[in-house]
Amino acid sequence: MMYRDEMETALEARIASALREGVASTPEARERLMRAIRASAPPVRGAGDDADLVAGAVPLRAARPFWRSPAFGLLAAASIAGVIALVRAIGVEGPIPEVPGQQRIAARQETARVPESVVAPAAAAGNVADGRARVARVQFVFVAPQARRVAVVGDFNDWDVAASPLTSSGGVWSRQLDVPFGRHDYAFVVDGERWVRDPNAPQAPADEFGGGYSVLVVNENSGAHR
Amino acid sequence: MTHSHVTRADSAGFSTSVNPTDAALVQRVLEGDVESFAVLVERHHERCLRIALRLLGNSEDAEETVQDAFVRAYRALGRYEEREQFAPWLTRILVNRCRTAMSRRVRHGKTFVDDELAIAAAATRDSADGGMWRGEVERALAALPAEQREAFVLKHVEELEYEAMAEITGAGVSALKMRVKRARERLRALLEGEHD
Repeated sequence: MMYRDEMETALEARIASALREGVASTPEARERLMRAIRASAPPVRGAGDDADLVAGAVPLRAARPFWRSPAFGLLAAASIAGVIALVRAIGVEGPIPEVPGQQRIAARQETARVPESVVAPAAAAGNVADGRARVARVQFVFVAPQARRVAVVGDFNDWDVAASPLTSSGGVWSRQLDVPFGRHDYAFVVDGERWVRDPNAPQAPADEFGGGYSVLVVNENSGAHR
Repeated sequence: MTHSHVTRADSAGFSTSVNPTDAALVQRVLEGDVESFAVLVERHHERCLRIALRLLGNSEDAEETVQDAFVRAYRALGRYEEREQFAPWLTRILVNRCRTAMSRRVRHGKTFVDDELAIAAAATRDSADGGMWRGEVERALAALPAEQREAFVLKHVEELEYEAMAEITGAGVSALKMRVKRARERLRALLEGEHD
């Protein structure tokens, strides 16, 4: 199939021309920017977060999120009981223990060619005293034996892929976060590029970018809080 | 410290600085000369602003997102590799930040206008008021799906080659060509009545 790459009509040329106008870089804006630069930690060779350096690391629109794929549907249906058991086994505090169901879930993922599964966040025991907003401590757990890194992103961390990395214990990735009371959309990001929703949490309505994020409601019933 | 420089367009469509090169400035920054980054800002700020404004449709959001992209690029300079040109490297970060900003804005209820009838009505009013062509074009651009808007801006506003666009967006060349084609058709449909 052939595509015509060049602007073909006077109308299209006028469109492009109009969109190049009306933008000016001012010395004031550049100075504001440089003030932010000078306030930043200096770069170090070979170091630095690369979450933004990967083309397409932030999905513009998930053409076909894997959680909508037939393979994931089968996986979710087959493993939901095991996932619930895993949530109960993991508990809410301390290091992630060895979980009998963990390998079983991973094995199912291998069969389905989907390398990770998601465990619903569990409200944790223990109060959080920040003296300001009411928060609850939430533990996010994500089973991904083959992942190189996993992060949780959501309204509570401005969807910043670098803000809340999970740590792995035998392929079970986890992290506790203090989450303000309220409703939050969230997702997991695997290897900095694949956004994965929690199949055991309610799903938010799709938006322009594919949506389908998981919904977490933190309130009086979520666990310990203040 | 002052720097003089000359710019030219490379084969991919990016303006390339030759005196000193962007890569040389990056090395100076890595050696502790933070003010060399100001030269990179001066060279690339307006282009980044233009991209962000056209993708986000709001100058305040655009400036904020461009600043965010430059700060993140500065922090990540340690991972910049000389074999890669600075302009597409920076643009990749910027496009990712714009996508994040768009996603966040949608969640906060600040969405682009997508009502075709409303756009047409607004365009008609502007024409009657004296032909604010650019405003009509901006509204039509904002009505495009995000992936078409992004592809159109990179191709026809920034005049990048498809291979460079693929490096920036992570999408394939064929997909990008299709997005641009659909964007052109959609813009033509939205604006044809206003173009005389």
